[in-house]
Amino acid sequence: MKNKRKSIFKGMILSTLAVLALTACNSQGKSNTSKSSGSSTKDSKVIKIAQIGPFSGNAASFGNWDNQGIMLVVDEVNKNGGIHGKKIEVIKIDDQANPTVAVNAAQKVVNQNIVAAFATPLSTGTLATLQVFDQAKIPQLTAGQDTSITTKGSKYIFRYNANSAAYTKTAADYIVNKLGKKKIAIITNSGAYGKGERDSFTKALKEFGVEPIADEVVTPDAKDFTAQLTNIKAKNPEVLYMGTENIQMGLITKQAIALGLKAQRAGGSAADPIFVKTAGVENAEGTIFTTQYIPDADEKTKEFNEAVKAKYGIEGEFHIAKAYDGAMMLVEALKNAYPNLDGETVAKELRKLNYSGITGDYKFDETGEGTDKAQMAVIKDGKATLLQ
Amino acid sequence: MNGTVLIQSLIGGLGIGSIYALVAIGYSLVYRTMGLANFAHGNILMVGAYIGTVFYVSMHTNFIIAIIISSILIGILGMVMERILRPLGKMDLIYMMLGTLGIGIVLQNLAIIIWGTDGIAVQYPIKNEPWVIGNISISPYTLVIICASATVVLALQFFLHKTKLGLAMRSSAQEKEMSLVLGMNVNLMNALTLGLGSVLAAIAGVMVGPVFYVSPDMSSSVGIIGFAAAILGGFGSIPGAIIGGLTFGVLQTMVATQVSEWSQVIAFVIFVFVLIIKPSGIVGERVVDKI
Repeated sequence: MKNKRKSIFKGMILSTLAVLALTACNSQGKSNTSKSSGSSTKDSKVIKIAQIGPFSGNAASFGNWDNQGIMLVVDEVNKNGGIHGKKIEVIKIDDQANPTVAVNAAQKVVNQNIVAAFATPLSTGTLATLQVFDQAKIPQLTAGQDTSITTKGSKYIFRYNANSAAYTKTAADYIVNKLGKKKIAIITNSGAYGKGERDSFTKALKEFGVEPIADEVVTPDAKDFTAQLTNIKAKNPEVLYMGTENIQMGLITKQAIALGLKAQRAGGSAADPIFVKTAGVENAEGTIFTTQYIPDADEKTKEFNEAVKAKYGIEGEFHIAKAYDGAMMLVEALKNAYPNLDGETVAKELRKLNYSGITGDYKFDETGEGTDKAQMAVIKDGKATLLQ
Repeated sequence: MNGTVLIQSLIGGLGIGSIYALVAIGYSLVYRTMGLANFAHGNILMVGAYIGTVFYVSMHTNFIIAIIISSILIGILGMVMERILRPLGKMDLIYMMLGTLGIGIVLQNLAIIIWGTDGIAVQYPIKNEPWVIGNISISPYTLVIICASATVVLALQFFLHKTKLGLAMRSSAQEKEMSLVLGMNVNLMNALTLGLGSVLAAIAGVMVGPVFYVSPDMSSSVGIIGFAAAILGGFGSIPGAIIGGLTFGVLQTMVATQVSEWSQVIAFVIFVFVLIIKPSGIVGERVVDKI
């Protein structure tokens, strides 16, 4: 009897341990404030902006690209004496691509005298933090593509990117009208980006009178797509549209080819260098996708490419380019708003801008949309090349 | 579900299922010998996957050699782990279990410090042109995984049943006191078992790399399902671990062809039901119940 009780007790401890093990595995990322403020007097010598985004985990590349684009501008401005003599300081916080962590980070930074925030490069984190920045009246800049970001009524959101609808409409138009393909299969994930892709791509297809023949949804952390791709293959599609982030898109491509799925592969702006690396150059070849940035397209992008290479030792890239344009616009607005560096004035100045950058021409409307232009590109020898 | 989808998902499920089976055998071996649920097993798998991948991707070693190097290093790691856990085991099994949890967290964070959180994409080691039979296409690499796993399992069975060392390990697992009396080094046997279990995890980790993606969260994604598979089959039983692993793989894939987002939920609900009906797992034996 006593023994039995002891074994029940041990069983309880065992199951507690199992739960602990599960949570321990998930809490691997750390949040670190790299340059948190010491003194925050009103007439401080610095202008503080925040950048919240993933710097650890599967989505870490998005946070890092965003940061590289922003720092390219900020370092240049600071080197040339700052904004009317005031240097810009970037408070960088890791949200681990987790919306809860992002909200905490946002609540923390709005009390640190910041004038604007880049939050976050992912739609999920942006949606989660919308209200915090809107209430604090601090301009929030995002590269998130989910269409609903600008429909929630925030007066302080600014998107330095086209939204999913603009991207997917360009893609749907090209696939249906230019390539003449009607048998289209969709695979997306249930995260905010994937959901946005699924909704807007299906809607865009409908406008051209096409219903997708397969519509599979996976979880954002899925790595095995055998089942979904098997279903899709059974329908024999001409085009496979992948609406997931870069790594998943690469894995889907790889596994689709391994399953003998011969459809033309297409996707959104997630077809970046990480996608090519994950899929393998050979497998990524010929994937068509939408983007706002093609390296070496004109003088401006060439110049940008050189700057990125000199500073970071890597090729200029779409996400870095977007963040660069976003930061350029913010700097412009800050210069114009000076000396009234409060959120309201900065937001007003952002709306007044007519900015022509490397990812397109921006003019923010009341909802915070800056542009609706996207281009079709294709992966050729592992690199993005303009199609239209 | 039509026939083509059924067969296709069965093949895919067996592929990923054999990976789960290898992981599950590692859990069961250690549990059977030491009565220990090794919570560092998933982390060991992840570290093994990284070591193999670094050799294969960055140093361009042959894939099989990368697996062997990773297995040797991870085998040593497993044996070192036994030495660390030994004093804890003298107090109580629970302390030992906490010890594995601690080692797991240390490994997880070391991996993040060394390799970062970005993960590494791994290319297939063979030319992975699918073989097409009628409407079904088979990815050669899936077959490689299934065959390699089967070979590993057969070699393991041969080792445990036909070699002197294997017999010694089994006897120390079954009758610890008697083995001690007979002059057997039980600590060494425990170390060998942990080492052997870890080698299986390393093999599984490196093999699954090209299909998935080698990243720190492998330890939870593959490790936890391996653990569940071991329990489903019957914790402590090797045939049980194989059946549990394959069942989990096939179940997950088949459910996913019907209701993709629900595949994990439904697979684990079935898992719970099986355990309610048969608490000792599909082929579980009461004999191994040591705790």
